Amino acid sequence: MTARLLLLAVSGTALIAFAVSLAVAACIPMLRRRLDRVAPSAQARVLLVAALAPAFVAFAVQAGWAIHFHLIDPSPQHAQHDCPIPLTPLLAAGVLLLVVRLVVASARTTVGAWRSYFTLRSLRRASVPIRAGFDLFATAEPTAFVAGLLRPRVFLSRGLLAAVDQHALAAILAHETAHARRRDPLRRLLSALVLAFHLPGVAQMIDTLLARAHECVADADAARKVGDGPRVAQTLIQVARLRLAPAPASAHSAAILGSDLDARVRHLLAVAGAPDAPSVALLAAGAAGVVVLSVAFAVPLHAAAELAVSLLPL
Amino acid sequence: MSKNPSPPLPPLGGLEILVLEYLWDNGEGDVTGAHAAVGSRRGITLNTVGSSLERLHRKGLVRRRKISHAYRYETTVDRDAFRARRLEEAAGGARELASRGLLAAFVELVSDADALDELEQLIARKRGGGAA
Repeated sequence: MTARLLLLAVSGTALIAFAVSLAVAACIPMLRRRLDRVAPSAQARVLLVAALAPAFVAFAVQAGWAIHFHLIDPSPQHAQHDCPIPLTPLLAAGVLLLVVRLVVASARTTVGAWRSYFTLRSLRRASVPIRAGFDLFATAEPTAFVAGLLRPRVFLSRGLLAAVDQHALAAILAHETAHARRRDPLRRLLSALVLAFHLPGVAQMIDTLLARAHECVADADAARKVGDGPRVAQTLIQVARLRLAPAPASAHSAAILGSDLDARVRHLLAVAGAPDAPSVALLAAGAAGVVVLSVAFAVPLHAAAELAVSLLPL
Repeated sequence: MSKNPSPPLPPLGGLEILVLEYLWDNGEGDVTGAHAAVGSRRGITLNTVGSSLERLHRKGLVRRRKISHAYRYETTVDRDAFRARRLEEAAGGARELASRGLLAAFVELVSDADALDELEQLIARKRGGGAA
């Protein structure tokens, strides 16, 4: 009984999540065009919604079914979970794909959290805390980054500190402090978990866009703090040039990849006055709306799911 | 970057680092000397400092020889080499975090200098337009 209920829940989750993921994939070209016109914080919110959509809708719809068929309209057939959905080979493959993706994502998240903790510890031991709010990492490589999940720290290399003036340093620190305040490394870790509910290619697309949006948000924060977007853009170019310097780039710099520099610079130059919507309150209202609709339309949604499975090839 | 053939450094506690610093400063030392230098002001007992030296010995970071009834300790790795290895290990950890997307770097690697020139011109035009 429990195994059958679990199988129904997982197959329902796979069916709904992958259908929503396909719908999100269909919207991505349109989303990309529109996202370029809104403020980075709004971009990040919209992409977060896109990342969360399959998992959230799958759970909301199934919660709607559970509430309707067990509380509002309980019948012996439903009480016994005698659902006629056949586990066709395609649906079984979807279930397997979802389970494998969730297991892999959970393992990667656990290992990532573990590595992050120990790396932060070793980075801090190899660095000197500076009163300006960062740890000085004694390497000649010109680099700046934020590491750590719950209490992230800003690290600047000695090479970078020696190569930039105080205005550029202020822009770099403002950018990295924004990452630390928003706990972006933690966001990336958790987003990898929810992206497991997406189809593989779609998850990668959203992950790339989300990473870029996080960078743009930190850039916009830095621009607000130093009061000069073009200066932050110029600092990005300056640091990028340092990393193009004749000295061969080390494996360290090769590994530390940020997001698309071109897009970031263009955002910094164009983003002033861009609309900052949708708001968090609007998104919360939308999420509540999905839950209410899932309960209200539990029967037609259930019929649609059964129809979808019956139409699946094989 | 050449690969570091040395084995990874063992994890060390704060007191162990302080004891190592004491040994580096003095060339060698015993438990009493280490306690006087780093234990007394932290309110740590002689036995705790002795345990710390014992752990460093087990981790291979100090060697010891018995003189009369007491051990004298000296480090097996010099301070600069130790710091360089620690730095390299931290950088290696950062590399791995970056590959997992768990490191928020300021700027990406750009292989195309021309692209930077174009972006710089774009910034200059923006500044020029703003000033006009």
